[in-house]
Amino acid sequence: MTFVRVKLKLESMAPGTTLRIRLNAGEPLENLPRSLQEEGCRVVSLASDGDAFLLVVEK
Amino acid sequence: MPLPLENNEESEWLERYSRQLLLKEVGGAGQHRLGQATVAIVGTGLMTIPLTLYLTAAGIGHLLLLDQPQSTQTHRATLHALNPLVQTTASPIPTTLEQTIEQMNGCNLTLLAHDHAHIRQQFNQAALQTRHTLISGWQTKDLYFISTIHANPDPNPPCLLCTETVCNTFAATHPNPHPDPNLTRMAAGVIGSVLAMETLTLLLDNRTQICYGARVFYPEEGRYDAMPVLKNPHCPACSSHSSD
Repeated sequence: MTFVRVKLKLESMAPGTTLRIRLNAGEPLENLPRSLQEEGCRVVSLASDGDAFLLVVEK
Repeated sequence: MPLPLENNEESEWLERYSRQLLLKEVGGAGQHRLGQATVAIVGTGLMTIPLTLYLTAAGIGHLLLLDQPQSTQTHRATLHALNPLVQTTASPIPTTLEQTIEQMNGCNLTLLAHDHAHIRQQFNQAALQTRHTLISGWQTKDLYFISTIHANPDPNPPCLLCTETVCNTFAATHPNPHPDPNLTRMAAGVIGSVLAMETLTLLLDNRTQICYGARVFYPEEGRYDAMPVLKNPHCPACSSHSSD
């Protein structure tokens, strides 16, 4: 469901803009960066953020 | 710390439509468009069972079933159980042209799945006057047809009567003296499914092939063919509605 939420958010964004996504470890962390790259987004950074992770992608 | 969730309503919406939200032809904007649409379905025959099931599952905002309300009661309960986010109401079929026009103006699309010639032409006349899109499925002899009128850029397209005349003449040249009743029932389901697909495609603002003519479905062979349809300049229904 994280991917669906992110895709909906990306729909409303202009190309070239970035989205910061805070995600839990496990399946979202394993799949989301790869799935977004397959959708044509660029992964700008991925870093731990306390007990979660912060992913920044560019549309 | 777990990430915050949306409220229950948003979560249910996301969960229910998650697979089609990922389709590029739908997405969030398309799903909202489907949710805001009102679609009228005329008739409650075999064809309308898969048609209404698909449209309900897809999340059409409001389905208006036009037939005897008591004949739709059980089916409406089934549809509500399938997707409670869809509003399903029933109303008798309008009996006058004025009522039909009023009904059409209150809907985004009207689907005609009723075999009665008088009712079909009443909706054809209303579509001609309102320029409303009318999607239709019907059976002639052992063949099934699908057409969509007023969904293409042609300012003066063939009407449903023009289309039916071409299709029915074609059916008369392909008689099957012993149609298999099981295939006939299956074909009604196929056509209902195609009508649902046509409806969703049009509501999502995508161009369909059927809107440039009609399709014929051969139940015995399980295949479709395109049916080119030209406007009949002497059509009793649409020749007086020319936009020229």
